[in-house]
Amino acid sequence: MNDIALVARARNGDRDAFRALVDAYYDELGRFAWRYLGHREDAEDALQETFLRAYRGLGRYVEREAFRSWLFRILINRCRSLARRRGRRGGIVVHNEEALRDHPDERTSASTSDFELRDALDVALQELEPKLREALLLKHGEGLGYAEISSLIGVSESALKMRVKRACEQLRPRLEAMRHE
Amino acid sequence: MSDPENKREAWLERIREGYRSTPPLGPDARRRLDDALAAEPRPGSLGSIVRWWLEPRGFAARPWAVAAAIVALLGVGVLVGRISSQHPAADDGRAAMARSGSASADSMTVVHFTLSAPGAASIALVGDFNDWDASATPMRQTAAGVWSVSIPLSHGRHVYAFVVNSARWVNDPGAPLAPEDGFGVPNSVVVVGWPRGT
Repeated sequence: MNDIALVARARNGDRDAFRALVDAYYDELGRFAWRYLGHREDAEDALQETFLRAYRGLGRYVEREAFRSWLFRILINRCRSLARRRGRRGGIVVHNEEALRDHPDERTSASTSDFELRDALDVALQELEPKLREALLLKHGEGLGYAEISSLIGVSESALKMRVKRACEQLRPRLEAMRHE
Repeated sequence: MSDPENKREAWLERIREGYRSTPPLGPDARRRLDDALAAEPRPGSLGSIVRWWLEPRGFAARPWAVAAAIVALLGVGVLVGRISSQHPAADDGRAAMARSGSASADSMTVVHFTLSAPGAASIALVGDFNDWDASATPMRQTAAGVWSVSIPLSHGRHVYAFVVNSARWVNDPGAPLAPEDGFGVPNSVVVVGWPRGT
């Protein structure tokens, strides 16, 4: 059953249909939120708020865009709000030990260099301006096209390209410096 | 591809790999979400609507953009108020615009929508007044490339858009846009029933 059909059923009170939509997008949205916010608990809060708002606002979703894009737009707004709140209490950087607490088997399936890269990426990402981090994650993390990102966050494609370029310019030396420490 | 470009692509690929290897969020969080969703009233129910209205929300905007939006909304209000005391104007055939015509009831005003779209096979008006139903309010071509429709609207603020060829949604280039509220792309705004005589 496709997203449109699931949304229609969820609007009519079928909670299992909405749960199927959550199943489909929870991990993908969680990955973006965690990388954007740099903190697992904040990412979990962002997802909780995103899906609750989406459920309450199902009547406001129109099929002109993909349900996934609609969810992403809500999530980005939630992440921006949480980042502003977090900014007032100081930044927190995620480390993989925190992730491994809930996923102890993961280290057996990933090389040490993967974890080093992830740690370095975590630190470097949190040092980027939020709008640069957001553009970089959507472009080179999620692999979205500039047109789609533009419609998601309401910024022109040329401005987005500049943000991604600036993010790359800032990220690359930081990552390389960390890898040589 | 040259070597520097290859190196750059390899570097971005590593970024992508790092991103994609992000572990999933904890199962406890997913359980909390399921519990919260189970406690939610059914979408569209009175309880759900009340919750939506009571939910705190905010948006970030540049001060100059807010000021421009206020001026634009006031301008549309004045325009609607002035035109509503006159006969509906003829299409100018250049830009889209929502205009109010004669009042059909105390709380309703006929609003005339036009869109210049040469080459379009069909255009429909969608908005909060017809549940965004693209089949509810088809527009008809009244002059070469000019599509229009008149509908009675209740007084107040309405958001709307046009659907071109049953597929492409476009905003009204002659109207201000509603601020983004976290749910979708901004739509056009018309304010009906602004005090007359302004």
